[in-house]
Amino acid sequence: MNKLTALILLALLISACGTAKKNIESVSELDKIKNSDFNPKKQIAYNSRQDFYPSVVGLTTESIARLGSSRLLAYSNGSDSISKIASYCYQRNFNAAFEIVDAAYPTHKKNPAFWNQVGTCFFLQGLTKKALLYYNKSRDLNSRYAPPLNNLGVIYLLEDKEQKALLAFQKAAKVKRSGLIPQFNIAQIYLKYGFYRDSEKIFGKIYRKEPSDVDVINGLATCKLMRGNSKLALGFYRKLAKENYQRPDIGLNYSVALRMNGENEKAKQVFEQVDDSKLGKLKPYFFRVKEYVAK
Amino acid sequence: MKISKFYLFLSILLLFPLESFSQNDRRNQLISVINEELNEVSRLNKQTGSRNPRLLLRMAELLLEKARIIKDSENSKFLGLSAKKRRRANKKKYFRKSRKFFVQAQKACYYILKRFPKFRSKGDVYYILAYNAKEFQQPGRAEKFFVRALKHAAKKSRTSYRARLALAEIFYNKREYAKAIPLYQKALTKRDNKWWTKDAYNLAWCYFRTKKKRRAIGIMRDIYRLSKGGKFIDMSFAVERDLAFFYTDSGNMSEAVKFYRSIGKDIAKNLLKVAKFLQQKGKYSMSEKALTEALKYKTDERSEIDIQVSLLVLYERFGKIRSHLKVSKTLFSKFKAGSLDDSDKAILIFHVKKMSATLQGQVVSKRYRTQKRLRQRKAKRAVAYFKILAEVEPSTRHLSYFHAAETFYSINFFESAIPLYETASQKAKETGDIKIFNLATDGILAAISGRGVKASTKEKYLIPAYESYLEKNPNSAKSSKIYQRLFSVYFDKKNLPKAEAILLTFRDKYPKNLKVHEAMLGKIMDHYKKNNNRDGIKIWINRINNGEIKVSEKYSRKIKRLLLSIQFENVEKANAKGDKKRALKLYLEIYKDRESTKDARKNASYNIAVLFHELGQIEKSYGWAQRSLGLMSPVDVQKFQTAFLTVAAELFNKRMFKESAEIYHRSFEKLCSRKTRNKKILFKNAIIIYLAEAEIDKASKVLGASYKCNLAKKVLIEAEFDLLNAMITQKNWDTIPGRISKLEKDLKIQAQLIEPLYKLSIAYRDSGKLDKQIKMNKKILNYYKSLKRKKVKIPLAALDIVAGLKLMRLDADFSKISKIKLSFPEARYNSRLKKKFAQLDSITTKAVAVLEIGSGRGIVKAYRYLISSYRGLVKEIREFVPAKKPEAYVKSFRKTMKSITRPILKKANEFNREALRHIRSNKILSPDNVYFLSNRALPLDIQYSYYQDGLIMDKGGKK
Repeated sequence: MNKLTALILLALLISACGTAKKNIESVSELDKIKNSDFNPKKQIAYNSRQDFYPSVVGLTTESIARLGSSRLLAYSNGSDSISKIASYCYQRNFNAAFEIVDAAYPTHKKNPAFWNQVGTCFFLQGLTKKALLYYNKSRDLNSRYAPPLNNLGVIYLLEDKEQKALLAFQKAAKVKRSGLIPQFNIAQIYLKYGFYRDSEKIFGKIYRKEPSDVDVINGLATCKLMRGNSKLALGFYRKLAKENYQRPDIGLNYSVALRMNGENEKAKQVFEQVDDSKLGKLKPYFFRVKEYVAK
Repeated sequence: MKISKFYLFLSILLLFPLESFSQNDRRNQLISVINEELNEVSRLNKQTGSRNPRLLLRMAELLLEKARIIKDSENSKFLGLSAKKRRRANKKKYFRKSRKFFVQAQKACYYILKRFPKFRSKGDVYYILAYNAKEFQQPGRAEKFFVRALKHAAKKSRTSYRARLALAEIFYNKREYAKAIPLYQKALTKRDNKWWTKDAYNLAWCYFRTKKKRRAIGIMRDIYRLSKGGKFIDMSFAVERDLAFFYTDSGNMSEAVKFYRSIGKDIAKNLLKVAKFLQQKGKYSMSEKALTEALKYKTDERSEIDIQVSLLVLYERFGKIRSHLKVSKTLFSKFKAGSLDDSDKAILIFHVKKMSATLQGQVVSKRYRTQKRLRQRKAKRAVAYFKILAEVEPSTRHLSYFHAAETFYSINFFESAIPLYETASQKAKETGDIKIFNLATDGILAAISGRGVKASTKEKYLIPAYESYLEKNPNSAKSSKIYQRLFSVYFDKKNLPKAEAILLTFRDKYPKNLKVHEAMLGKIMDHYKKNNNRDGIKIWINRINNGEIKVSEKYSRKIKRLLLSIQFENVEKANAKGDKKRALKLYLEIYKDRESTKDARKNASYNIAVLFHELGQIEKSYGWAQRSLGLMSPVDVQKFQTAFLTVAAELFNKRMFKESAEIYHRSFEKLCSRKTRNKKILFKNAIIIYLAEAEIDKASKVLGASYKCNLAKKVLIEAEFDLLNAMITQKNWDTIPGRISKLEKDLKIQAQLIEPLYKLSIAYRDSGKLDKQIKMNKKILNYYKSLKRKKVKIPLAALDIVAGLKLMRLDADFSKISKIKLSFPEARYNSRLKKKFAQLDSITTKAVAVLEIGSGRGIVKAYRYLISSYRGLVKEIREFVPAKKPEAYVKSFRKTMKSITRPILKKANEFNREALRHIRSNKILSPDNVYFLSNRALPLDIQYSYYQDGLIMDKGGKK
C-alpha cells in the first residue's frame, strides 16, 4: 500500500470515527427536550364537511389544478394546511409545499386528505410511484375517501391503462356520489371513446353546478358536435373566453363546428389561433381539421 | 575303708578351691582319680568273680560319679553351642559318653540286686538307680527307686537322708506338698548341713501351700537367720521375697513391712516384688494391697514408677478400669515429667492402647446399647485413654484423637467430638495421613449437624473443617457438596469475597456442574441486586461473557436480564412517573456506558429509537433503530417488530424513503426465518419503497434473499412482477429475459407475463431486433394457447395484447383482399371473385378467433375488419361495371351481383349490430369505437383529448 492510499484510508477512518461519535447524541443535548414533547399531538381529524375549496364552485371546489398562479397564491396564504400544500405543489414550489407538509404532519398523520395531497405533490413532480404509495396510504386511512381513488385513475391514464382508469374513476364516483371530478374524468373517457351520449349526461350535470367551467363547456360542446349538432356546439364554444381557443382540444373542434355551420372564415381564424406547439396526441387530428377547414 | 577314702578324697577335691585348675582340668583330674579306683575295683571284682557286691556297688558308684562328671562336661559343651545349633543338634550324641557310664552303673546295680537280693546295702543300690532315673528324667522311676532306697537304707544313714530329701523334692515338685512335708521334716531335724536352708525353703513352701502359714513364716525366718550366718546356703534373697509374700498373703502386711524394716531392706521394692509374685500367682487383690502399701514406702521416683507400672498391669488384669485409668494418669504425669524410661513408656503405651481400644469397642458394641450411663462412662474413659495415648505416642496422635472423637460421636456427644475431630484432622494433616484427615473432617461435618451442638461451636469449627477438607480433597465426589456448603456458610455470613472465591474454585474443579455454578451465582446476584450493586453484577456478567464461568444459555440470559433490570430500574422508575425525558437520558447513558452488556445496549438503543419517534425526531429515531437492529437477534426483532414497523412507516411518512426501506429491509432480513405475519409487510414495503426510489438492485437483492424466508408464493410473485415492471420502466432489457425465464415455469404466472413480454417485444422492435420481437410474440401466443387449453384466467390487458397480435395477421389478410382487383373477362372476374371470397373467409375465421379471445379492443377491431371487409367487398362488387359490355348484360350482371352481395351485406350489418352491442354494453374503450359510434353524417371523426390526462382531485368536495 502506498503512502497516499494509506493517508486516504486514515482520513476515512478518522472521519468515520468522527461521524460515529457525532451520530450519538450527548446527554446534554437532550436538556432542551420537555416531557410534554413526547405527548402525541392532537390530530386534526378529517372533516368531510369541510373538505372542499371554499369560495369557488364546480370542479374547483375539488381541485385547484386548473387555477392560474395568481389564484393559487391565495390558497398559499390561507389557514388550511392541505390547501396550502396543494397551492404550492401546483405552483411547482415543492420545497415550500413540503415544508408545510412537515409542519402539518404531526397533527395530520391520520388525515387521508393530507396524504392524498402529499401524493399529488409527488405526482406533480412526475414521481408516480411515490404518488401511488401516498394515495394508497390515504386509502388505507379511509377506503371510502374519493380523491385518492380518482387520482389513481389519473395515474392509470398516464400509463395508458384507460380501462383501469375508468374503473378507478367509477369507484371514486361511487364512494362520493356528489364528487364532480371523478364524474368529469369518466365523462372525458367516454367522450374520447365515442360514448358522447353518456358523456353529455355527465358534463351536463356538472355544467348545471358550474356553468362557467371551461372544460365542462368544452366537453359539452364536443358532445354536441359528435352528435352532429354544430349549432348547439357553437352555442357552448361561444361561452368561452377567446384565450381558450388557443387550446388545441378546444380550438380545433370549435373551428370544425364553425366550418360545419358554414362559418368558414371564422373557422379558419379560430384554427389559426390554435397553439400548435401543444398539440401532443392531437397532431394528426390537427392536420385533418386543417384540411377540412381549408376546403 | 576304701569307700570312706573315696568320699574323703572327693570331698577334699571339692572343698578345696582348685583355683590353679580350669574346670576341664579339674574334671579330668577327677575322672583320672575315678578311673584309677575303678580299674582297681574292676580288677578286684574280676578276681572275685563278681561275687563281692560291695565291689560291684563301688563300681556302680564310681561309674555314676564318672558319668556325672562327664555329663557335666558334655553339658558345658552342649551349652556352648548357639541356640540354633542346640535346637538342631542330636542331644543324645552329645551325652553319649556319660550315658554309657550311667548305663554301666545301672547295669551293675541291677546285677547286684539280682545276684545279691539280700545285700545289706540295697538302699545304696536303689539310690544309685534312683539317681540314674533322675538323670534320665524318669521321675516316676526315680520316685520308685528313692522310696526303695529309703526303705532299704540304714535309718540314720546318709543314703537314707539323701533319699528322703530327694523324694521330698520329687513330691514338692509334683506339688504333693503333704507327702513332701514329713520327708522334709524328718530330713531336716538336724541343721548340720549347709543345704539345710535350701531344703528348708522348700519345706516352708510346703507349709505355705498346705495353709500352714505360720509354720511357713517361722521356717522362713529361720532360713533367713541361718542364711546370714554364713554356714548355710544363702537363701536370704528368696526369703526376703517370699516372706513378705507369706505375710501379705496371710493379711499381715504390717509384719512384712516390719520384717523388711528389720532387715534394713527397701520396703517398697520388696513389696513390689511381692506384688509381682502375687500377681503371677493370680492373687490380684493381695498384689494390689502390696503395691498400695509399697507406694507408702516409696523411696524414690523410680520405685514409685515401678509400683505404678505394676499396679497398671494388675488393674488391667483385674479389670479395674477406674483405678487403671487413675494409674495411667499418674504415669502419664511421670511421662510428661520425663521420668519414664523406655520400658515404662512401652508398658504405659501398651496399656493405654489396649484399654482405649477395649473401651471403645465396648462403647460401639451392641452389648451396652441399652445402658446409656455405663456406655457414656466407658466412652469418657476411652477418650481419657486416647488423650493420654496421643501424648505418649505422638507419631499416631492424630489417630488417637480421631478415635477419641469417634468414641464420643458414637454416643452422640457431638459437641465434645468436634474439637477432637478438629485436632485429629490437624494432626493428620501435619502427618500427611490423608485418610484420617478426611475421616476426621467428615467427622466434624457430621457432628456439626448433630443435636446439641452449640452455635458457637459451629461457628468455630465448621469453616475450618470445610476448608481443611477441601485443601486436601480439592475435587473428590464429596468435595462438591463441601464446596456448596462452604459457599452457603460464607454467604450466610455475608462474606461475599469468600463466597465468590469458593464459586470460582468450584468452577475450576467442577467445570461441567453448571447447575451448581448457577445456583451459587444466583445467590450472589440476588445479593448484588438487593444492594443495588451494579458493579458487582457487571463483573460477573463479564466473567460469563469472557467464558470464565460457564452457565447454561438460559441462565446466562437470566443474569443478563438481571443486570438489565438493575440498569433499567431507574429508567423504569422514570417511565412509571411519565418522565420520558429522564428515561431517554438514562437510556442514552446506558448505551454509552462501556460496561453495558450487549443486551443492555440493545434494549437502550431500541427504547431510544422509540422515544425519539415519539418526539417526532425521525432522523434520530432512524439512527437508533439501525443501531438496535444491529444488536438484536431475530427473536428480539420479532419481539419488537411493531416498533420497527412504526419507525419505518414514520420514515416513509417523512419521505425518507431510503431510510424507510432500509429499516423494512433489515427487519425483514432478521425475521426471515421467523414465523410472523409482519414479515410479509416488511418484505412488500421494502420492495415497494426501493422500487419507488428506483433502487432496482436493492429491491432485487431483497427479493433474491426472500425465497428462503417462507413467504407465500403469491407475495413473491407479486414482488417479482413489481420488479419486472420496474425493470421494464427502467428499460433494463438485458436483465428482463432472465427474470421472465425464472417465472414462466409456472403456468398461472404465464398469464401475467404476457404484458411484460409484449413490452419487451416492443423494445426489441424499437431497437431493430425483429427476430427477437417475433420470438417474443410467438411466445406470447404459445402462452395464450396453453393457458386457454388449461382454462387459466388471463388478465384483460394480456387478452388485448394477444388480440392485437392476432389482429396483425388479420390486418395482413385485410390488406390482401383489397389488393385483388376485379376485372373481366368473366373467367378472370370469377376467379378473382372466388379468391376474394376465400380471403373473406380467412378474414372471418381469423376475426372469429380474435372475437373468441375476449379482448374488448380486439372484439371492436375484429368487427371493424369484418365489417370493412364485408362491406368493402359488397361495394366493390356492386360498383363493378364490366367494361365494353352491353347494358343488358351489365344490368343483368349487376342484378346477379346484387343478389350475391345481399347476404354479405346482411352479415356485415349483423356484425355491426353485434359490435355496437359489445361496445355499449361493456363500455369498451377502443380507438375503433369511432368507426361504430361516430355520426356518419359528420364530415370527419371528431376527436376529443383529455384535459391534462385526467383531473387530479384534491378534496372530497361538497356534499
